[in-house]
Amino acid sequence: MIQQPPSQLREVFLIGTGQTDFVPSHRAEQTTHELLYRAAVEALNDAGLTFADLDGLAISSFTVAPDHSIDLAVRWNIKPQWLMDSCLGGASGNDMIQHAQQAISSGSAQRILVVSGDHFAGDDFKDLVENYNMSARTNFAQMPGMSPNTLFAMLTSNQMRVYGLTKSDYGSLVVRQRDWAAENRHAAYRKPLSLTDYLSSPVIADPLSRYDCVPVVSGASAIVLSADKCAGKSVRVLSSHAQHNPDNQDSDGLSTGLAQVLPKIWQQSGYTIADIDVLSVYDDYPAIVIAQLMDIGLLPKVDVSESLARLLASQQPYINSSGGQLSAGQAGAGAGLQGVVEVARALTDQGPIATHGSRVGLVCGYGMVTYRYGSCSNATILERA
Amino acid sequence: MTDCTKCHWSGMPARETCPRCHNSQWGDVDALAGTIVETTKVTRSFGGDLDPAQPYALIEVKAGGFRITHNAHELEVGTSVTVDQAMNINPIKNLDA
Repeated sequence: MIQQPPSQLREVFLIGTGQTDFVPSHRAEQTTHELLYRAAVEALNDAGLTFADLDGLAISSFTVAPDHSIDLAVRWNIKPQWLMDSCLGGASGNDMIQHAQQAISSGSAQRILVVSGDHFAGDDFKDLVENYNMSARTNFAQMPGMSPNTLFAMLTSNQMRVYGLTKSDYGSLVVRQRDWAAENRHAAYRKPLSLTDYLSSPVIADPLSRYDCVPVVSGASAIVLSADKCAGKSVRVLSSHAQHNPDNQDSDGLSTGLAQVLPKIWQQSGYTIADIDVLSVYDDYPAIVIAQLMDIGLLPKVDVSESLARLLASQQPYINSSGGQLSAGQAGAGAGLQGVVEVARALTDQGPIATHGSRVGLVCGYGMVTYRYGSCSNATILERA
Repeated sequence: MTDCTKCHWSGMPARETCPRCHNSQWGDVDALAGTIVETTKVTRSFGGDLDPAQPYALIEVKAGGFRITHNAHELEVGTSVTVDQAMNINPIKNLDA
């Protein structure tokens, strides 16, 4: 298909979502390619499209290697004019949206499938951690037990000391997300969790215990972005921005790049944090949720414990209403797209009942530990169309 | 252990140019002085049990930068230490001495 360049930037709509079940990796039976395909087909069905209708494809996956987006394009019979491989892990979902939005709005593509997910078999996850980047390979190779848990345990200790937080504060967040997970049929863990359960769970790396550490699962998510609105179930992509490497790994990690991203999001969309009905905050660890809530402006840096309790009770906005990764599970690089699907479904009345009628949502991405904490942050604001 | 030949910043991860003074020449030192700013004891990883008697520590290097080390034993946050080439940590009484 030949597209004429638009005379002005076009609007971009999210017109379909797909998601597999999230299954603890040791019990998962499907390959990465099978998971990505299933999520892709579901998103296309949701949008009323087929692979032949696409002219763009973006993927993010640690375990799809040695394949890339072009290999999936061939497997799925797509003839793309625009391709993207994102390697930004937990920030990959918004990364792909940020670039796909620009491609569609400028006329480089008309309809783009964005798909992301992973399956970890055998030692895949161990290999990923040990060879995540040159920094991990060279600095941590001789350190038994080194993993993201180790790094975020130390970050959490610092956050507790700086803001006077207790284990129960983190537990309140984890337990609230588990409540949401009960309504998410894809979540790996849906059984109710009490604060007592949380506090009595085994320590992994102090102060982190079992429910503070995101469970590794296999699964995939997908969305379809289009220049054309899909009647009745479209979500408008208003603005998507990023701030990576905000501090060159030379601060305490208690703030993220979001603080620099959000002024652009508000300026471009015309909304403010007060207008957000549903919010997905990247939640590999509760401490990172709290850091982002501070960057977003929902959580003041004084009286944090009391403010967090009030925020969670207020449900303004609804936070991580799919249960987040802490209950649904973290499907590798696919985690970056899980929050997008969560918010898009809430804005089309396909999420938990409480979120029906929501009009505006914000998705925050975070990831890529380059030494001590994540170096990537981004956000996308979506609006019911 | 590498440090900047100009300002002696010596953090990790490795850089081609010093993030503080932008010098691109790196030297090699036997030990770094710093302060423990965080610790953690890892008890489980990848499904296996570990020896929690060998805690991890985040060191703020006196000359600039951060390093993560192992074998912090029972050293507490705030302890002044040196870190050697083998990443062993030794407490020192006075960093300025």
